[in-house]
Amino acid sequence: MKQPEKKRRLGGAGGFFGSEERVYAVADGLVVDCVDHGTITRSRVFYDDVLMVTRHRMRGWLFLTLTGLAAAGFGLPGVLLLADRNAFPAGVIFLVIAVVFAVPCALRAALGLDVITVYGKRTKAVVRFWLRKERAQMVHAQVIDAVRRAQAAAADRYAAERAAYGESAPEGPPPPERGLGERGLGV
Amino acid sequence: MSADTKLRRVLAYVGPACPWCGVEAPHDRMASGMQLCRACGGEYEGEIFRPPTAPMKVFAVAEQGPAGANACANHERNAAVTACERCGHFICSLCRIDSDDMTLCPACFDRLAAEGALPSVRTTFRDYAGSASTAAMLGVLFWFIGPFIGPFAVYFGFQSFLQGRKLGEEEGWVRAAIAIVAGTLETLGGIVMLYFFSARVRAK
Repeated sequence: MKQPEKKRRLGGAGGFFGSEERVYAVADGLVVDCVDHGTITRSRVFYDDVLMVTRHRMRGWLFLTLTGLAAAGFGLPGVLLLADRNAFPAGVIFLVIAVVFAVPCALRAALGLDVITVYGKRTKAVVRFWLRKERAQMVHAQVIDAVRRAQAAAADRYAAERAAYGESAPEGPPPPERGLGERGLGV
Repeated sequence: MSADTKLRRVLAYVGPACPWCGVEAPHDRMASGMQLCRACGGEYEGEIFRPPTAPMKVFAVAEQGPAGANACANHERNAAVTACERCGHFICSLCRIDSDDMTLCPACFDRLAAEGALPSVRTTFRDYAGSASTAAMLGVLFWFIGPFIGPFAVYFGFQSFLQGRKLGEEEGWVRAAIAIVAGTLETLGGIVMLYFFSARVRAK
């Protein structure tokens, strides 16, 4: 049996109608599992391929609008029903439902949503944190540190390979591709 | 948002981009720190990396001297550095693909990936753990369908275990175990409830 790959869940993002994204940290990169109606689509962002790591705080106006409208939609009738003694229990029920929508709306408006995005050469990973701001900061620092270490190790490895080939390390971007017909390249 | 920005958001992955609007970021000219997107004005903190380029040495057959070298099966002017472990063809460093502890040529890699024989390349899986927990939850919420949906929860739970063993992963085992137990209980409980319910109906 294949040795289990040690995966540590970093977080993810929930979507609409049964879709979800989970991000795990493994030894050599990040694994992104997109769960959509019973099917998991997996992609990887290797630390060696990371080009940029971003962090920003957003509010999510669609979320705020929908929850705000729902809170108002249940809260206003609830208040009106409370005024009527006969409909007092119904008013309480409406207000409880309104609170269920109002609390996340208020929390999101106040705290925002921290989003960390890791851009690789072929794909990206997005991790969202709502209430756990310290964890967002910690994960951001951990990912950056892991990328730095992996790319430094890769640079050392490639330098050793180049030394074995007898080439000097390139100063800047790789040289442009040579055309067809020249010796040494078969493509 | 411009029409161009909207179009960019639905296209395939383009590389480093503004996390607000998705417009491609000029990675080559950026430095680490606070960034301001020129397209949408969104601010974000960006850490820029420039990954090292892997060296690739391609040896020409003609450079190998009088003894010569075996030529690559795909590139006749390139010297072979190894052989494919599946088909045995000699391959150069351009063709060499190391995957799942095997050295393969591009054709064998494509063939094995299409067959699903390379676990590290496989990208799509059935979410058996999620299906098991959904089936178990439905059986709990709607007890009268427990005898019918409980077996599905048990089946998906076992499939989740087998999938985890095959992939070498431990994620979802607890959820699958709970779904199996719940599925078993709701199957048996549903049968008992239906028996007593039908007995009362017959008695009336």
